[in-house]
Amino acid sequence: MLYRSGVSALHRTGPLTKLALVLLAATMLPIWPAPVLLAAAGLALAAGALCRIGWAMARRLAMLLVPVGLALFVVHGFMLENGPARPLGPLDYYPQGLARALTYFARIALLLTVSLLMVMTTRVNDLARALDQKGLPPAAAYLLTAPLNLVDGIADEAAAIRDSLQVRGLAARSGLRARVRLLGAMLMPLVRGMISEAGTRAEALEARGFRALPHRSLLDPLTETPAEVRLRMGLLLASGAQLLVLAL
Amino acid sequence: MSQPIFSTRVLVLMAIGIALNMALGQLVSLLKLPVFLDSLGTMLVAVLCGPWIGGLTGLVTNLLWGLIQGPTVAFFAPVAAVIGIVAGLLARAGLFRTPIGAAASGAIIAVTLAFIAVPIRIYLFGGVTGSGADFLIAYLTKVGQDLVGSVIVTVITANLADKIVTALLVWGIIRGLPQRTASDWPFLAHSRD
Repeated sequence: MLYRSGVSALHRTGPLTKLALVLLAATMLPIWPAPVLLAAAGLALAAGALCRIGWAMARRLAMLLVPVGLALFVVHGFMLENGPARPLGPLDYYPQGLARALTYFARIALLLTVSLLMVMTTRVNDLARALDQKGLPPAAAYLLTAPLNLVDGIADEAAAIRDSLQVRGLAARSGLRARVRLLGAMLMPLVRGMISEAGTRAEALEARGFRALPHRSLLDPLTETPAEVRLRMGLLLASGAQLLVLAL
Repeated sequence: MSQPIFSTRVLVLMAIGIALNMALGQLVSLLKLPVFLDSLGTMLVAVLCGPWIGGLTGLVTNLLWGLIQGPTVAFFAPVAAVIGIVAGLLARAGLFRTPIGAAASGAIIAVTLAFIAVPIRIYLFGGVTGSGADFLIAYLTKVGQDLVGSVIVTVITANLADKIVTALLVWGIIRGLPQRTASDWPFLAHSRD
């Protein structure tokens, strides 16, 4: 999980407000030049540092951005013909290609930084609660939270099936063909069992009154200050304005 | 009260499909196999419940994955949705009845997803994503292929084997389902007797 616990202002901000911030960043991409996008990404990283997730964010960003950045500058700067070439030692490079690579890099950097800022300060459960609170049907919250509860169970069950198959002679260190056989032998009972269980799980949910009403009321609703609601509206309006500029 | 679009059973199957998409990657890396299998749950739901539910399963998988693993995955959510939709349409056409049809479905899905993945990859990532496949793009552009062509070839090459293996596994799974379980999923009638 990318979430880092904390008590910062951003941790306390509602998930929907942070989603509006991601939307604002996404609508900036086609409009603003690379320096503006990079400056905005820098601001987002600084906000992360203020929320005490700066190092974790920077590490994650480096992991994601360094390989993409290298690939972008090599492919666009040196390999794809883009305007007139200039010599750089034994190689030729394309200044226009490098400028294009910088634009792509800035777009990715901004979107990743702002998305990470949201993801690292928001629990999936809180997002589900916020959606519930806004009147989305219980099914939406279920689809966001149930898979996370199921993943560990699937991994444990797969490990148990693997162990039992290995006891019977199927080894993961064998050749490719044997490993493909092992994969099939592990997957078939695991997945068939889960499909068969779907009916039982659904009955258990219905027995608890899941979806008995179109909307659920929350025992511990997320609280929002009027300032936060205004901030979210502002972010949405700014996103709308940028889309309008793009359309014109 | 109006009937919900998705029954609770379908909703539970979607959750299972999403969890399978997320969990099987670990299993595959454990066995050191050169496939991802990150759309097995999506294809399975599509074959059991139809194209739109399959598409939604793919979409939610990548959005949720983006929340817990890293936002890059979320940018490709439309691709995951297309995998589910196309798998469902091919299942409706009866292609998941035989292993050859299932393998052909995997190939069709790999080619179709390129139409959605390539524009995202080019507009947002400039054609590269920092993975090993970038070497192929670099090579193809150097031998004279344009960027769009190089990315199309790379995306299809990287996905072809994975989607064919995934489709074959789905065929194997649905073929071995007990009749009692199979009868719970009416859409499955398109893929087995």
